[in-house]
Amino acid sequence: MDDTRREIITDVSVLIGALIVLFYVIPTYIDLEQEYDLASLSPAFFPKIATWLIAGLTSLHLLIIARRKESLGPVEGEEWLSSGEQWKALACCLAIIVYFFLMKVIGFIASTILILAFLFWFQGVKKPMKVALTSIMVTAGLYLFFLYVMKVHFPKGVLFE
Amino acid sequence: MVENFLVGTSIILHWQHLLAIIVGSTLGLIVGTIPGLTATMAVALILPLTFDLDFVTSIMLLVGAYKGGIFGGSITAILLNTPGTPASACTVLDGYTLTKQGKGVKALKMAKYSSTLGDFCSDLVLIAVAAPLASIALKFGPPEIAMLIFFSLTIVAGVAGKSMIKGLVSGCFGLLLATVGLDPIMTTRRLSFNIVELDGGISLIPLLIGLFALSEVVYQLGKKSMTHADQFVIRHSTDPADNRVSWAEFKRSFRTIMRGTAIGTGIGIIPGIGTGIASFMSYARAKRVSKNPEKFGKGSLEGVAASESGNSAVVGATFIPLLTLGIPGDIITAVIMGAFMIQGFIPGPLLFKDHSQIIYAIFIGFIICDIVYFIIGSIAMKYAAYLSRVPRNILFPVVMLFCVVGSYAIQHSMFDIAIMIFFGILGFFMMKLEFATAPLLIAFILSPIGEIALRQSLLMSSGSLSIFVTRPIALGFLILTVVSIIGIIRSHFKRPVT
Amino acid sequence: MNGLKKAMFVLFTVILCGAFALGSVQTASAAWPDKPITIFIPFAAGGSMDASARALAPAMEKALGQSIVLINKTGGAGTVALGILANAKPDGYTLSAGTSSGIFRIPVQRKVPYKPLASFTNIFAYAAVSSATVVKADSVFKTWKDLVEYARQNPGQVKYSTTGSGSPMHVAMEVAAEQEGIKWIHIPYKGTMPSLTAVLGGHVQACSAGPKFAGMVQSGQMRILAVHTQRRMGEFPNAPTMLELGVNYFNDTVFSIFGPAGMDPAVVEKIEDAVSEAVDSQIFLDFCKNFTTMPMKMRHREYTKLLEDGWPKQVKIFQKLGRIKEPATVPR
Repeated sequence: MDDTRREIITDVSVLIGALIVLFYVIPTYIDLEQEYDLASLSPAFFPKIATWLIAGLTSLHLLIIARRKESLGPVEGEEWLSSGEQWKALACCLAIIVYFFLMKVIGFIASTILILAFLFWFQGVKKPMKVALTSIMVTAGLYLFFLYVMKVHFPKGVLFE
Repeated sequence: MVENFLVGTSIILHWQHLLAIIVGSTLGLIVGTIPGLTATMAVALILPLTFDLDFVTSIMLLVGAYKGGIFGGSITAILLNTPGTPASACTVLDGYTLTKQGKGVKALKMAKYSSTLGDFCSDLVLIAVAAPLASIALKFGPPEIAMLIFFSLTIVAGVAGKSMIKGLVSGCFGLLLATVGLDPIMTTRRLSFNIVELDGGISLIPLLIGLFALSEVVYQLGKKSMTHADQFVIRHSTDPADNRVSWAEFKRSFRTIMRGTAIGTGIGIIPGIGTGIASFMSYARAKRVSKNPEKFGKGSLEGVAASESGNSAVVGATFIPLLTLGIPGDIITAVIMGAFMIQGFIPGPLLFKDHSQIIYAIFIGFIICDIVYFIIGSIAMKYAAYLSRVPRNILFPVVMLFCVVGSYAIQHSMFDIAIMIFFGILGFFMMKLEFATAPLLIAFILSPIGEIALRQSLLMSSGSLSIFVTRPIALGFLILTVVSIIGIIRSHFKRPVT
Repeated sequence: MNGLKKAMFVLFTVILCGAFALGSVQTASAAWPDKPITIFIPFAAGGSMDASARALAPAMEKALGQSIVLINKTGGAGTVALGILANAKPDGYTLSAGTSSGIFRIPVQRKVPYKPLASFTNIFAYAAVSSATVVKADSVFKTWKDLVEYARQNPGQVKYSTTGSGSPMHVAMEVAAEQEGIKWIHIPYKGTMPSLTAVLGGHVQACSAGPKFAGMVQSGQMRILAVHTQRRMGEFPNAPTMLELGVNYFNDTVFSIFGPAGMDPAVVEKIEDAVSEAVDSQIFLDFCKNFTTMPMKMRHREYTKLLEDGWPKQVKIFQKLGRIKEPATVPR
């Protein structure tokens, strides 16, 4: 995708998001139980200012982008991921989200061993023994450290409570 | 005073107290190094252990943990892009870039020097002029704080990244996010979508870890399976010049360090602002006056020095209002104040009068702390460099795990993990679309302080804005803000606008 | 590849079996407590509520023979922790410290995510909180009357700070204003210390503050105009109570332990005994002395009655102040 188009799409989506917040989210989710003599004292004052600023700045950016004729050109500095790599990154995101819900169900230890094993394998550690041992050892070490040193009890999972 | 010093020294040189400093610093360093575990947590964990100890020992334990914790956060910030505390979020900007250039050890050393130096100078200020400074800090009422925050928001410009406007959008998003939760003045529910956990607001640490650490992990996990040369994440340059800080480099950064120290000390004295802001402010200032501002964010040693001196200098200074007036400057000193009170010592002017020798013992303990954590930090860095032996495809999944447990550990809350993951993914897309994440964080930290102060001021003046120009300190900050905004716009128009 | 799949499968099975085994061992045993007990602290570390729970815990651990895990769940003046507690299992392993305000003062004023009088087992009240109206030591207001008279002559000129809107400290001042027919301006702060700092800095004339005022008074930086306790305080025998000064209000906030509704009475009794023992411990008594709170022992039945009687009283107070028409939350 060409850079200018990507910028425009981003700006437009941010703008739409800001308008939704402004005209739906703020009126719905801020309880205004009383009248305020001063607008600045109302709980909705600050969120509104922030959102208006977002909308304004994004429109400004959109204007500048739209008026510029030439493309932005290649990104300088470090290169961003190729599209294949991007899908790989997103797959990892998904795995982390699954991990979160798995932890709720089967508890910290089991889900952590599984996610680590998956990520190691996904990242190209191909020796099964290495995958299994590393994930179990890391999980066990972390669990014990947090339990005994930091006094943090990790969730056991709804299945086992 | 001299006599107090001598007696104080003889008290602190007891082996128990020295041991307490060493144990405290080490624990703080370890806890601070783990992403998501903050100095606050180190201090809060140690607090119950101090119930049975004598007063000086327990305070030294806590102070050691505080200083060690702040410093520990910087090690992983530099090596892995995972700031352990908000204080080191700014160190990431140049520290991690230096690591990617193979100069990680150099950055760590610079961090160590500037941290210790900043800490040391701030301690000297604490010892020398604590009392008069504290009374100046009291002059900071709501209008002054509001204008100070207003001024601080201009530092967003320094970290806005490639596009100023997008940086500002990111900052405004931070302002908006910070308003989630109960309204600080009227305590009505705001934007919490009827979720109980959101009533307390979005927790800072999960947001920080997600935005800075998890997003980088996701990015790295996406990279194609590496060739052999790329196998290790932390390549150390073999050139010895890249692994040490030369005298010339140190001298070049010395002014930056001193400026950072001054800023950090100033921020520390005013209750309620905190270490994170000090480092960003020092960084932005250093960038403005630097001869090479274009190098900031691309691996500038000065940037590391500015951030680290700024956040460390806060530590000594936060004790100024605590010890002289009994006002804790931040959450950590609030916990330490709890320790004082549990032992039956009430911080404030009376403490100076009745127990001056103990106070001086603590002061000298501060200085010893600096030396101790310099040494422990040097040892820790050697081991931290072993991280480079861990293959990348093992290291990053494990860092991901640390992000998760770190977020959970703060409040034993699954909800915080969800927050962390949300901001991790958001941060990843922000990176892709070239929205800088630092402005979001800065605005998120500043917004609640600023909002409360602004609305308190307007309550005081019954809605009249004149309160901000009739009070000299507030007016001063207002003028500073206008001047720096003009400066930013002018320097901006010299470059092409994006 | 095949080897890996096999390894993953074996791993998964082993984990599941192990976890099930662990889980079943825990549920099989009936005697409470057989695992660590979690207690939420609804306020940030370093405050008096936090210190009180941390001072109770060691003796409770000894009495119950199990470790206690203290977790700070801050936010919403204590309502966030209570909201989470309301949804917890009533097995006695999840409890929360909390103030009576979380049951009958805050829910009257705004919606909370629980039913104040039905969601909890009110197990034990262990300390009564002190609060007072203070001014700077060199203030021109020598007595409570001075402040009231000044406010009468200069309406809207007196500003006072508190720890937050709707807190008992705020209500105390507003009840006084309503009775005296005067108007003063409330500036809420986030926390007691910042509100006291505002007085020291001269940004407000008075502060209506929780227990931490004592340190400021003892160190000579502040003067008490009136205490909000029911009787005069042992530490400050010369400071009059608001009741003596003709203001019909005293701060009845207590620190207490809550559990989710529907707990086993036997378990509740065990906790009552443990807390009661802990209140007598030296660490806790030291806490009370250093934080100017008064130890007390009010068991489940008595405490529940206090809260249920307190609800209509609070509703009446807030209606009289004109802050609400109807209570914001349904109590049951």
